[in-house]
Amino acid sequence: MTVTSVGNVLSARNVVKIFAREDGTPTLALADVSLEVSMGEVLVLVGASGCGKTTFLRLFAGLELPTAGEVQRFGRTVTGPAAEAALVFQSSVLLPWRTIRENVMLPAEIQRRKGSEWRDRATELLEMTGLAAFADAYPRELSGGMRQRASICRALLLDPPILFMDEPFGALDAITRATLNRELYATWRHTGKTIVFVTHDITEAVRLGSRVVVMTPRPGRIAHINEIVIDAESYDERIESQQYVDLLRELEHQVHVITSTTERDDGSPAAADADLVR
Amino acid sequence: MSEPPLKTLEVEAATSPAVEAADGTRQLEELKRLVAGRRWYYALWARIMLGAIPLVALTLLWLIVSAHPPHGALQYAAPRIQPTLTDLKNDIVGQSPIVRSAILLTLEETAIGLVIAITAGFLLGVPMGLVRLVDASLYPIIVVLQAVPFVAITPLLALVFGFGIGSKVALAAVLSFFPILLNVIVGMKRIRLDEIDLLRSLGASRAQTFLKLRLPRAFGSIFAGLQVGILFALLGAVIGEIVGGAGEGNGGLGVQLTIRTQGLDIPGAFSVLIIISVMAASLTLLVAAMSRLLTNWKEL
Repeated sequence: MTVTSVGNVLSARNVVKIFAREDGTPTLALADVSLEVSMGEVLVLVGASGCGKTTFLRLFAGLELPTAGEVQRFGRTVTGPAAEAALVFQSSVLLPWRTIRENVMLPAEIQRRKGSEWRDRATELLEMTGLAAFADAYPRELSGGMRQRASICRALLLDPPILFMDEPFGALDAITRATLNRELYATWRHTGKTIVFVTHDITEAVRLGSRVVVMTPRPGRIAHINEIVIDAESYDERIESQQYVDLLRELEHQVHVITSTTERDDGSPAAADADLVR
Repeated sequence: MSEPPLKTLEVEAATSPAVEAADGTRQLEELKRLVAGRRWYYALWARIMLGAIPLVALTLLWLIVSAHPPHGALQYAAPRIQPTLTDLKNDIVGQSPIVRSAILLTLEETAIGLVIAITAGFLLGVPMGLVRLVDASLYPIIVVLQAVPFVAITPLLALVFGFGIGSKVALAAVLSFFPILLNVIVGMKRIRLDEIDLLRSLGASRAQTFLKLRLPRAFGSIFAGLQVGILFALLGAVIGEIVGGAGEGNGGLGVQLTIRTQGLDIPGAFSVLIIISVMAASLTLLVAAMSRLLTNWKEL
């Protein structure tokens, strides 16, 4: 095996993933995909439903294992989930019988890390995200955006170097999403985490990404890798820059080309995607 | 202590009525204070009152009909053996030593039977709900056994488990076992894939996933099973007594019911029936209350 170069947090080499559909037919979800993620970057995977972007993320996270090829995390072959990476899902996945604080503290509990410092850490994170007043509330009492903030707090609790985010703001309204994009950008600047972010929202991709990978559907392949180099000091500067606007247009174009060439196999792509993921 | 700030508020309100009227915070606070912590209390009362109306109406009807037995054609509609409420009251109060020991005995049989059923239900239901192989291999047996009319073989049970408490406990356990088992299985299968993914991503062990996720998720279903199961356990105990007899002593409520029915002591039989019904209702309410305490959360 080749040794991963320094700075590569994650790498996928010639990864193939085949799933069995519900009727047993094998389906090719990812075909020969290779990608490296370097330390501290926000790598965004964009593509239409069914393009295997979620599958790709789950392979990096160790929730799925590749049919062929290899996925490495910090130079070691991924064989399952690890504490050095945390996941944020599309729905907040807060356990409804736990208070927000108890939900945020779940990772420490599972890892059997005792001590009051985790409670303090949870409080600190909840304060940072403006949820301090809801620490003892139950998830049902919070809005969708607040729940997603809480689930990000949970992911940050053990301070893992890697965050995997699977369409974390996909179920939120556009205004809340914009706010959370801004907050996540600030968190990233502040903590320097390596983030792999799956979305189908191009704007979100350009707002957050250091690199944006555009994928094609059925089977999932990498179509374009866009380096995003915007020399901006702040988020506002970033989204007002000319590069931002240009990249948005470029991505729009890339996605349009892909969808117009892979069109007309419309076997309800959303359902197909759900099949593949599970 | 809190006097001064209150006064200042009043002064402010008095001096600037226009501002106070425009912004609704004071009214909001008043309403909040009025409602705070009482909503569930009102809801509970409303439910109790609504549930009580038909009960009271039925009791009144009974009272009227038994005090003024109908004549003419209607007399055949209302049974003449119907005791009056006073009969029942005297009977329930008057017979207390025997009835009390009968209540305790029946409760004991119900409780032991239920504990056995819960233990067996969990021991079988958890592996069946979690492991598909176990489920596939045991399910046919369970279905067949469930179809056995255990009430009909009560005399057989008495032969096997004796004429004392044993056969009653056995019937209580067997009857309450199936609803509990089936609901434990259903509860174990009530999982959400994203929650399983979350626990996996956090590196949870199987035991942790069970305790922190599957069990709390199953609570609702398990309590639904218990609610039916506890009724079946009581029913099993009473039927066991009716068929199997007292063994020794005065026997449980089922025995008392048989003795009184055969002695044509109608008010006596009715009072035993009422006691059994009240016990059944109380046990169900008890389980419902426990369920509310333990699953006091709503889905998102």
